[in-house]
Amino acid sequence: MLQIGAASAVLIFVFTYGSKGYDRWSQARTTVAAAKNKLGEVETDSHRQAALAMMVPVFEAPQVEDKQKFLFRDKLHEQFKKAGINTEPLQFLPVRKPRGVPYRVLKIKCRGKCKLDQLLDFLANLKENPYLVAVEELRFQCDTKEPPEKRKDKEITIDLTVSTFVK
Amino acid sequence: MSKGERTPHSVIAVAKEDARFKAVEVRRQDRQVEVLWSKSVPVEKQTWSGFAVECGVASNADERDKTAKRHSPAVVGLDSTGVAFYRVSAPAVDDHEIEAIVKMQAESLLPLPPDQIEVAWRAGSTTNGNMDITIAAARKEHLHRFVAGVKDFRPRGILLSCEGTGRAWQSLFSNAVSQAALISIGVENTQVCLVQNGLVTRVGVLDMGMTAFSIPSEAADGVLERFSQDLRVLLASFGWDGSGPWPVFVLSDGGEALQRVTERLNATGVPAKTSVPNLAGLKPPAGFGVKEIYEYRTPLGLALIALDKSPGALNLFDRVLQEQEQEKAASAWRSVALAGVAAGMMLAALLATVYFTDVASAKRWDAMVQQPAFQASLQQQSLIQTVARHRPDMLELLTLVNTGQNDGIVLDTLHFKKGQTVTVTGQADNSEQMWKFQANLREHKELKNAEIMNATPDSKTKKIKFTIAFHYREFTKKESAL
Repeated sequence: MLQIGAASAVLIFVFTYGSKGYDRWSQARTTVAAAKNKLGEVETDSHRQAALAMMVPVFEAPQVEDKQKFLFRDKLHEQFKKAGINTEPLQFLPVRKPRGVPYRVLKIKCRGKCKLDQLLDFLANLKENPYLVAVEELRFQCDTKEPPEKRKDKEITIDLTVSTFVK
Repeated sequence: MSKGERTPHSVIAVAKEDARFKAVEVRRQDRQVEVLWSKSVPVEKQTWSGFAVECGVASNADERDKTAKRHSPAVVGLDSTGVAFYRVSAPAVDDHEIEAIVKMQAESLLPLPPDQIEVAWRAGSTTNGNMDITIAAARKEHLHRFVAGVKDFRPRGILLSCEGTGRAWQSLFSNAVSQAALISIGVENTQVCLVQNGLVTRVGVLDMGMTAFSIPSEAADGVLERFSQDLRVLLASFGWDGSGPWPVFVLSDGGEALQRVTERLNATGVPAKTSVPNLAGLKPPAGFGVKEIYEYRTPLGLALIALDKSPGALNLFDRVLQEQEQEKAASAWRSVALAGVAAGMMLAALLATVYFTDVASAKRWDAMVQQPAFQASLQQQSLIQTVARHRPDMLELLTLVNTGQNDGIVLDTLHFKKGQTVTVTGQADNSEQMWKFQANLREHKELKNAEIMNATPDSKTKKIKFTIAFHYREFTKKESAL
C-alpha cells in the first residue's frame, strides 16, 4: 500500500509539474532553434563576403522617398560631373513596389552624350554611390552615319536608368 | 538433507572436535563402508575455508583455475557445546500439534527470546499416551556464523556432531545395544549422550577431558572423583538411577588412559564399560586402525548418517539455510532495485541537466539575437545581399561583349534592360566574321543563347548589318526587373 501511495504521489507530481516543464522545455528548444536559424543567416564565408564587398562596396540604409530621391540624384549628378558627362535633366520615374523586395523602388532616367572612355569611367565608379541599387537600363549608340574608322573620338549617346530603394 | 535428494554413494564428513578439524571421505560398497581418506589439522593452524581447500572441496583463492572440482557431497558436524538439549513429554498427537506444543515448551524453557533461538525436535517413544520429545536449541546467530564459516564446503547437510558420535558407536564400536549412555571423553571436555533406539535423546557436556586426567596420579584421583560426581548428576538428569535402566559406555581407543578412567568411574560408583572400535564391516585404508576409528568417530558417524540418509536427524539448520537463501534473494532484489533507482536518478539528473542547459541556452541565444547591434548588422547584411542580387555589373557585360578576336566587327548600339534580352547591333565585313562574333559571345558562360536576330547586307557599304540578342546572367529574366 505504501508503495502504491508513493507511486501515486510521484505520478501526481509528474503529471502536475511534468507537463508544465515539458512545455517550457519545448519552448526553450524552439527559441534556441529560431536563434540558431537567425545566426545561420549571417554570412560567414570569407570568399562570399569578399565578393559581396566587391559588388556592393558601400550602401546606406534607405530613407523616406523625399529624402532618398535627392540624396540619390545629387550623388548621381556628382558622379556624372566627375566623369565629365553632360546629361539632360535627370528624370524621376514613378515609385513602384516590386514583389520580393522589402522596399519600394525609385528610378532615375537620364540621357546624355559622352565618349566611350567617359562612360566606362562613370560605370566603374557608379558602385561607389551609396544609394544606388542597380543599373536598370543602359543603351548607348554610336553615330552610325560616321564610318567606323572615324568614330574613335566621337561621342556616343547614352540612355541610362538607375534605381534606389526608398522606405 | 532434503527428502528429494538422492542418497550419495560417497560422502565427505567434516567436524571440529578436540581442537582439530577432522575430515573423512567414506564410500559405501557392497554393504561395506570404505574409508577413502582422512585428514586432521589443528584449528590454530587452519580455518574452515583453508581446510575445505585442503580437503579438495574448494579452490584456493590464489589458484588460477577457480572452477569447482568434482568431489563427493559434504556434511558438516556442529559441535554440541553450543547446543542445549531438553527432554519434554507431550500428549501423543499429530505433528502439527506437537510442533505447537514444542514451540510453547521451548519458549518457556529457553533463556532467550524465541526469535533469537532455533529449535529442532524429535519425537521418541510413547508411553501411556505421552510422547517423549527431544529438543535441541541453539542461538540463531551462532548457527548463522557457523553456516557462514563452513560455506566453502557447500555442505549438503549440517548435523549435530553428537548424532555422529552416537551413529558411529552403533555401527563401528563393540558392545552396541539399543540404548545406552555414551561417554565420549575429549581433550578438554567430555560429551555424554543418551542413545535410545539408535537416536541421541539427551546430551550433556562436562568441562573435563583427558588434559585434566593426565596430571600426576594423586591429583588425578581427585579430578576423576569430581568428574564422577558431575557425571552421576548428569546421568541422573537423563533418568539414570545408579545402575540402569541402560548401561554406560566409555568410548575408547583401547588405550590405557581411557581404561584407567573407566576403572576409576567404576570405583566411584559409575558402572561403566569401555566400547572400542570394531573393524568388522569397515574397509579402512592402510594404516587406519582402531585408534584412527576412535579419533575420527564423529566424522565417520556423520558420514554414515549421510550415506544411510537416516531419518529423524535433529536439523537446526533448515530454517537458517532458508533464511540465508531468502536473504540472498532479497539482497539480489535489493541490488536490482538499487541499480534501478540509481539508473532512474541518473536519468532524472540527465533530463534535468538537458532541461536546464536548454533553458539557459535559450535565454543566452535569444538575448544575443535580440541585441540591437546584431539586428542592425543582420539587416544591413540582408540589404546588401538584396542589392547584390539585383545589381548587374555593366563593365563586366561590356568586357564580355568585347572579348575575343572580333576582326571586322564594328558595334553600333548596345541595349541592356533588366528583364529583357541584351541586344547589340553592328556591322561585319562578311558572314563569317558575324558568326565568329556570335560564337565568341556563346563561349562565355555568363552570356546565354546568343542568337542572330537580323542580318542584312548594306548595298552602300557592302557590309552586313546585324542584330544579336542574348541573355546576361539572371538579369535578363523577366522577374529580375525592379
